[in-house]
Amino acid sequence: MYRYDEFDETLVRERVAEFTQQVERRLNGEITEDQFKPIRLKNGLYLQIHAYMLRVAIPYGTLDSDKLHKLAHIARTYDRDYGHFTTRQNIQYNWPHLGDVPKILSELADVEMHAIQTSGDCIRNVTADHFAGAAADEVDDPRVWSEVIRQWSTFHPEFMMLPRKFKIAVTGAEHDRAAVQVHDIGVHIKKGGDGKPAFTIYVGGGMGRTPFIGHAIKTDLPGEDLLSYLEACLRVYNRYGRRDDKFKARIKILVKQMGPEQYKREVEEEWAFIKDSVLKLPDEEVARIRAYFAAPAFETLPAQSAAYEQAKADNKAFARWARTNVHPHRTPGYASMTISLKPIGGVPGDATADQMDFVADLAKLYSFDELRVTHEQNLVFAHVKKDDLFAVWNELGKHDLATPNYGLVSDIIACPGLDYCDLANARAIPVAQAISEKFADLDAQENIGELKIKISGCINACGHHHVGHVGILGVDRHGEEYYQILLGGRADENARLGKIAGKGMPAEAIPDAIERLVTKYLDVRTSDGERFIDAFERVGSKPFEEALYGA
Amino acid sequence: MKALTASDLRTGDVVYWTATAAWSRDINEAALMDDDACAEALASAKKQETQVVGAYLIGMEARGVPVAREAMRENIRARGPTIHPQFGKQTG
Repeated sequence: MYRYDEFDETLVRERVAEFTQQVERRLNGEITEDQFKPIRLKNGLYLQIHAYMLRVAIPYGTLDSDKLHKLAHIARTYDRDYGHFTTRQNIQYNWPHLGDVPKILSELADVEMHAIQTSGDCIRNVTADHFAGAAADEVDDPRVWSEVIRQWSTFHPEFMMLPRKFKIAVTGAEHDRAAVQVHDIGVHIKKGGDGKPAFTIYVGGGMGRTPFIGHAIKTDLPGEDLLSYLEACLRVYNRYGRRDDKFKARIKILVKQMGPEQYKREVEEEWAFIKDSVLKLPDEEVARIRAYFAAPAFETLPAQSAAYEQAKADNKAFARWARTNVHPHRTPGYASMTISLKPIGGVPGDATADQMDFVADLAKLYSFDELRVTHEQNLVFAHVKKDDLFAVWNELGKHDLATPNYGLVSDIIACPGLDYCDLANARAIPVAQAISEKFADLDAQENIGELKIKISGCINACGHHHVGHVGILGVDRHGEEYYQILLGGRADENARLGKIAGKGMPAEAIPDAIERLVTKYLDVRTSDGERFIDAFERVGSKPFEEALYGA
Repeated sequence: MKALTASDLRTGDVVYWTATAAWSRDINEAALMDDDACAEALASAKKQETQVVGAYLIGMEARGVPVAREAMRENIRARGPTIHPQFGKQTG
């Protein structure tokens, strides 16, 4: 778990005190909304359709039980008893009152949390692989480097007024679970020739109005140079990124217009000045931060758990959940597991205050007091004894948290959409709910296998529709909601943007359209092991387009 | 005809300008105004910085009924999230 040092503690407390006064001055009319708006946004406070929305940073999605209990307490005390976990591994509260926000921020500070840099044109909360420190395929722990980046980017004076917001993601395994290639900067840790971590830096990826896959402009970057290289990347962007047009201000547009080769030359030139500066990371400093994320005190256990195997043999529902929601761990006798926040027909990513409290207690009992929020809007216990999985599953089921659908057709990412968001053109959540209900049958879902559906309610693409195996984009057509379907996107190490399959359709037509796609897939797949995306890439888009729209 | 809407500064609640020159949470109480009355109401709202935020005009078919072009968004604003009817204006 990350730890605040005295600088973090002081900075956050000072910011809370400052914002408390600013809110008072806004309420009594000393400052105008025009003056206040950029201030509240710097503190994560938006004004949405129905109410204010507070976005709280969860550094690379990591929480302990104290933090999650606090998030539950805030939901219960200041909001409407629930929170919404987002694709940025953050949590959003949809109903706080302006006058309460300083108190909320003060309560968050008590557990080393805040809402700083969750909005505005700065470096946002860094995101990372949710199986960090546990995954069997991990080269190095992305949390260590995410924390390095967090410390560097928090209140970085040079990068508080970038041309536009800036998102960085880090993955430490060959299989990318953090979608690094569709971020402004993606950091992919590989093993270097000397056995030390070596970094591949992707720049200029992103979704939104003009989506791009990032360009790998640097490979084999040593860890000691990570910050100086990132600083050089940001400097070039800060210098040349467009400030005259919000829609052309992201780094992806700069890299596209400059060309990745020219952008890289500029970065390398800048880097030459700062490579050997104070930004060079000493091994001791990395080791100090690495100690924050030391593996918990694992017991020495056999790889196989007789209790786990017996429970699976005795209980079909548990066996199903174990097949979908339990993931390999590199330590014998342990597993990682996903707590689905996608109950059939539910709101993706929502959790009630009671559910949060319950999960916090469970993490303390069974997962070394630690859990993660995933960018796919679920929760993860990274380190659970296989012997305990049955007990955990039993408990989760009592709180509607044991849906066995990780990676399946009902494990849908959806942005808040027009039900909440001031930018949205169409609703996203009800479409997710309707698809989930259409495929409620768990046998059918499991038979279909991995199928990632991602839904956005506008072209800003918070619901990652460009990289869904099936992406759905809501648009406003003369006051009516229409939905375009995109096919063939993926957010992993072979990232690719989906392509629009044809003309849009109304919301009520979407579940049947997805069913036609699924039927086509089941028809063409060569075996149960050939996933939707594999089959799509083998046979191409045409059969699926015909399934949607007719030959 | 148009109506004037905004968000309440303290709660963020959707509010509407009424015929009695006050703010109401009920779209059915929104005054239907011609262009001159709209300009006056909008100017008045701009001076009420400690009460409301982001005032703007919406086209209205009839009392409580936004024009079709704006109906999807404005009906959601008027009633609350369609996915959580318990949190909308329906609850009073």
